[in-house]
Amino acid sequence: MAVEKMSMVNLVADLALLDDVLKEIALFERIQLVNAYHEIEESNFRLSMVDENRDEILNMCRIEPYKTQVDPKALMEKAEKLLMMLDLEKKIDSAYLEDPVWDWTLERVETQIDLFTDEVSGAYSVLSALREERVHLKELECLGKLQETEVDLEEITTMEHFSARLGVLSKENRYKLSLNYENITAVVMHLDTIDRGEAELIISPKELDAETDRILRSVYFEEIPIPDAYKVKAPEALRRIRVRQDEIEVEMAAKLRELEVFKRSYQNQIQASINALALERVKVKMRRSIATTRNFFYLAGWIPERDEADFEERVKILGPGTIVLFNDTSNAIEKHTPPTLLKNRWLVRPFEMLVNMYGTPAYNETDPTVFFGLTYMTLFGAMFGDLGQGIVLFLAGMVLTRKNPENLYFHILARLGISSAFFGFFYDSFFGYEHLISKLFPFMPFLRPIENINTILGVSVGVGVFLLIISFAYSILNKLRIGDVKEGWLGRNGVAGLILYLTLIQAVLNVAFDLPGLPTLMTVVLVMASVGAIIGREPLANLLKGARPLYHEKVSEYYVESGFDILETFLSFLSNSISFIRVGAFALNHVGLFVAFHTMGALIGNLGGEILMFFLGNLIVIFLEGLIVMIQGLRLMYYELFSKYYSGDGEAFDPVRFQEV
Amino acid sequence: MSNVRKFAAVNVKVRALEGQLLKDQDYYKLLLLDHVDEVVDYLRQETWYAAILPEARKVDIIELEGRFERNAFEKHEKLYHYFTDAYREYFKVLLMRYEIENLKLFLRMVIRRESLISITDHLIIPHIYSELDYGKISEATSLDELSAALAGTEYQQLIEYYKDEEPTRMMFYVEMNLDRLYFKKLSQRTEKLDAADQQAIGEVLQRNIDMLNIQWVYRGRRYYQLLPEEILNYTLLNGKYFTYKRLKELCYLPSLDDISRVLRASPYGFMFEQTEHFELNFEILMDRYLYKLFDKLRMEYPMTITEPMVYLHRLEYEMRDLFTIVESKRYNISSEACRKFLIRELRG
Repeated sequence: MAVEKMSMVNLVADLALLDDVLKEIALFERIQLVNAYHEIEESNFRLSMVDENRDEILNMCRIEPYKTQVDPKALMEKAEKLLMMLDLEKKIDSAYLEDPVWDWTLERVETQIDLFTDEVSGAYSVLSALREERVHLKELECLGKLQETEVDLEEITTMEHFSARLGVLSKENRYKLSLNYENITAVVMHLDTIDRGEAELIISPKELDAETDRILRSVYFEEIPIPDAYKVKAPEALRRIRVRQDEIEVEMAAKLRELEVFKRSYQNQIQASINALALERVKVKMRRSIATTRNFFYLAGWIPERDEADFEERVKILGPGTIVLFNDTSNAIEKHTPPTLLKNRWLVRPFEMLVNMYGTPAYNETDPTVFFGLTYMTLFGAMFGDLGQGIVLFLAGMVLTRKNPENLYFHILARLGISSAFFGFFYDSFFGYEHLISKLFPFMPFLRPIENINTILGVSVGVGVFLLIISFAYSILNKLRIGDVKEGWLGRNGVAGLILYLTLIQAVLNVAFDLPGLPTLMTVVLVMASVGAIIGREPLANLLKGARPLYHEKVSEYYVESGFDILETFLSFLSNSISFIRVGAFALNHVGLFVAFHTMGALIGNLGGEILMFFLGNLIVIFLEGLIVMIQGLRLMYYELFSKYYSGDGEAFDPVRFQEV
Repeated sequence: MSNVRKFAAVNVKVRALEGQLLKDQDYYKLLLLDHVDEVVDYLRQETWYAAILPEARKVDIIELEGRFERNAFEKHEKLYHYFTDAYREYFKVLLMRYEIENLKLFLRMVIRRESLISITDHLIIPHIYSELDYGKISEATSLDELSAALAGTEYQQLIEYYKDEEPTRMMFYVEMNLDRLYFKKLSQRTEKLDAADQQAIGEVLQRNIDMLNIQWVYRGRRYYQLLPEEILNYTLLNGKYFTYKRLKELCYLPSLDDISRVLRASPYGFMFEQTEHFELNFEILMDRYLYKLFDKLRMEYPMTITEPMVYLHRLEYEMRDLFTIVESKRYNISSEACRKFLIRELRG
């Protein structure tokens, strides 16, 4: 229901245990490392002065950042190539690392990968050579176009005074060349269109070879070599190409089978190596934040308080003499703020995402998620109240969640659906048909928006005022918690602002609705006093704290600014409160849209038309109005409420995770 | 999408950025200064360039030029983010220019057997466009290694084609081919834009292609004795005045004098009038011509892609003029002489 308590873990252990400890942290996934060397430099690293810690403490004066390490990137690339050769998908899974059978050292991984690569690369290079040959032969098929000429390729490639070559030109360059045929020192014969472009046979006098070469180069001619085996009469060449193509298919199938057998017997070993390497790469990143001496290493990080015992137990098992200390965050906050990890119950947890979209709460700020989640659901339901459509939204949310549990939007959708259905029940609205639910449950109280326009609008503003008052409370709490007297007591979102707002509200109720309220004199005094406090908040706060100077800028400038500020305060009270009228307006709008669709259905005048309009109307309302209401709700939350009390300038908790680096 | 929707935001940005460019007044004052340090001081005190120059510290010429270049590049990248779809792609291809310039530099350095590692840190790398592995490229010490580092890119083949040529010839070939590649891509991308933008930009592009073509024909013939067939194949086909037919005639003229004569009679005759500093003037005259053309197009096609394009070119030309001014101070060239080499034509 709040921001999770964090503590700083400081750990010292024998250097020999380094790898094991890092692995434990990577798999634990609940620790965010900070640079231990800086911690020690700034004397934040605490070890208790007891005798058994003597060596570790003495050692601290010769401390330095961890230096020597090799990034296994190259090895990882080798392993990835192995995967590619075997056509395997990379599978990152910590289960491999937790199983002692697959828990391999880097040396072991290296020998394994080298061994596998040796085994596989033979077959694989044969396979790729075959693939290349297949492509080459496909291109040589263009020689078939010479079939009718019965020309002997051997003869034309070994002419005494002419040279002949086969190659490709792009369509554009072939066109360019054709525009200038009269000047070209060669005969250009078009054979066929192949994948790479246009296949051409070029015959030119040997004496002009140099010129021909330069001209061909200027049109980016790429030669296709003709192997000796195919330098025969064209029909025979084509026959040989076909024969060889069939052979290649057979050979390739054999090699693929060979690789498949290998893959099946060793894929676990290979995946285990990949995982060991992935872990090593995570460790490389982690090592950048540890400090070492000759015998020990020092490590610092943030850990959620409730995971402390669990972590200590897991680390202590690794070796005797490991010191693990947890420091309370209360004294660390001045030096650096802990990261924020939100902890909320299932009902509002998905809304954390919407809160984070605005900003992560600071560690010492109240987590607004519960307030946000409940209010957002209420506002959405009030604006989009319909039992049938609410159920549709809920079911859609559930189905999508089942398919895609990671996506929090779908979780939110399901919750909004429930709220919509709840309000829809009391609005007596089922897929746009009113008075249907009330027939089934005649004894329940119903509030049909279209029949109670003024009530609905009034209640929305009332709810808005209520929510604003809660925001004031949040704001005051947040500010006083960090000791901000100026804004907490005297600011426009502080106690003075709240008093002013409440006084104004009661005055409005008193004048407009003749409700009992405070005596006029008292109202005036309260308004004057709180306005005075807000205007003079800086000097007053400084007086209270005994700080000097009273003003941080020119006195005249301060009061001009403050004067405008109070004007804006009045305006925003008004606009923030009135803004909530949209909740009622959208509830009305929702019904109004259906009235329009019913009317259209009636105009069509037959059952088909009614049914068509029923479906069309519901579809449009669910998608279009649903979206609009979702945005309007978010706008109310962010703009009218968050801007009052929420700063959201925290840093999200980002623990070390076992994943691809 | 309507033009207002497409260009309103970027044009406002461009107007604001144009306010940062130097005025004619600034040019006059800069020309009269004696020393590089004075130029830096002036820019720092009187112009927007204060924002990219370090406060109160001596700046050497290399650093100064580096800062100007980076500024131009960052402005270009900034504008990229204002576009979507085909327009974004177009601006992305414009960034290819930086990659081409880097490659030319690499080639020259490899030929001179200089280490590439020393310069990679100072290079401007257009990450939005480029997919080259600069780490691998910087380790290359020979043409073959450079070619290997470019494996899988369209540039590798180019180097492979010409690597056996004598170095200066090879540079001509490869540079020409790289420019060709860039302009070809640019033409393809231009075709995806809306009709009005195609017209506006197309005019500049076609003129630019004309000037590149005649440069290639002229230089290929004068310095490198290329075959007419060969040079004709390298030219780009979508020029404005020099259509394929005219280009073919030009390429097959018997002598260099004939070529000069024909070029002088063409709309680009102004580029061949001067004989002194021919190569240098060639570029400056070409840029001046484009500068004026842009100004004209901007009037003719309001609310089109011309606005950002004009700005980018002005920025580029201003940067090169600043280089010229700074270098002229370094080598004690008079302000009158320096003025001749500026792209911006100062009145009076």
